Amino acid sequence: MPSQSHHRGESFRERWGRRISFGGGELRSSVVMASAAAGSSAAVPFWRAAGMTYITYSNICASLVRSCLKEPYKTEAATREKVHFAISKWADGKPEKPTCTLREAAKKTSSFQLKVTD
Amino acid sequence: MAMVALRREGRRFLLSPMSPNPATAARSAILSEEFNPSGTRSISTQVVRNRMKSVKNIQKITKAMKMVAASKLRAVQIRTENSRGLWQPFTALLGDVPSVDVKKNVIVTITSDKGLCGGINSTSVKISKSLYKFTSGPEKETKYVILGEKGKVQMVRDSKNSIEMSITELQKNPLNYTQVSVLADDILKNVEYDALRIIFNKFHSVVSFIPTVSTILSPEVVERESESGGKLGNLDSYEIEGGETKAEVLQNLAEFQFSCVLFNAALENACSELGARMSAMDSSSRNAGEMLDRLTLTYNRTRQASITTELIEIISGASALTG
Repeated sequence: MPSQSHHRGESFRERWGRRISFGGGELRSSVVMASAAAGSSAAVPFWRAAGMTYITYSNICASLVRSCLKEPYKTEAATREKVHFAISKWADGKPEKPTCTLREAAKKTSSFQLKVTD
Repeated sequence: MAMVALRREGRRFLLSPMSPNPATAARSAILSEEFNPSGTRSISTQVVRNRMKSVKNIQKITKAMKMVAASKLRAVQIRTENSRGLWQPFTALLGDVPSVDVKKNVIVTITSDKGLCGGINSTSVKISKSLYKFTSGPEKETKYVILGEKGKVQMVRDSKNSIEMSITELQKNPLNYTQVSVLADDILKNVEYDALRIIFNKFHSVVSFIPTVSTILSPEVVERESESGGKLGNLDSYEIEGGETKAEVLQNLAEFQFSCVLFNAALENACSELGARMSAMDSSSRNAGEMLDRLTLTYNRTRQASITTELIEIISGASALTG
């Protein structure tokens, strides 16, 4: 049974706001994103078609690897995953209110549930 | 800053012995003369003693801050040196050409959140401003992205219309790659750029920090430059796994390059900040020590003067009685 999960991150929701579901090794996306790199060629990797950049893709893979560790190393690795900063966009020379500080990257990526089936 | 206030006080000390004026405010004169009910005068050393106590406390604090910075520096330095291996392959592959001529420039300035670290933030901001002038021109657009509170405060004074984003509280948790890569991702999503120029202080040694600019080109510009030959022209001779088209490979590379270079730049800047704080606090402690010496001399002079005055009064009183 494929699981439905929401796109993570505010910026994603602003721009695309679509749902992606991963299940059984095949990707079913409700909308195919036309990203700059894809152009007219169809051979874009699934994550680029889903609207992720390479950075987010590698971060997800890294946190998956970290969650595979055993106990003492797992907590050590969890300290390397903490994300915290306050970002504020400027418009017309005025800063907007800084967006809420970001939660740990692990929480962001756990919204994807990848099921690996042989 | 505390040290500036102390230096001002020190200068006042040097001036007041030259022109003692007890009528003027007791604050600016060290000799505050009091009149006792019996008519004798006693010069108070209380003011000097208070100043000596506060200077000694400041010296202790700055020494402690130096020790803290030194201990933090050791840990961050190891991580910085290890992170240099992340961007070196990129520079070997794609080159780093600050003189590239593009329409949209984004200047990413990395500064610190905390102060008392010497002049490194001012040099970064100065270089950002001159780079802004260098890259601006007709049909060209340059924007700032500022990391760190100190840089934001300085930029807001005169360039606030060119600031795109500002990021603070980066060092609440120890710097790690995940955090910087999420930040890099946010920057990439929110600004349009042809070239990103990252300005930071590279850590050469505990006393030397060199402001550096790293240039990262967007994939379209890389394509354009590769046609004109040079390092980028050799890109086609590589067999690259993990991408079908060259454009896609270049895009992945550009994103990952930005993330790695930003991570290294943030670490190097953190190292430089700690080193600069160490040397600033060291010179503060030394200044406080010198000030303490001067104050001690003044204190002793005052004390001896008051003893001499008392003696004179006693002796003249005694001779008046007998004589």
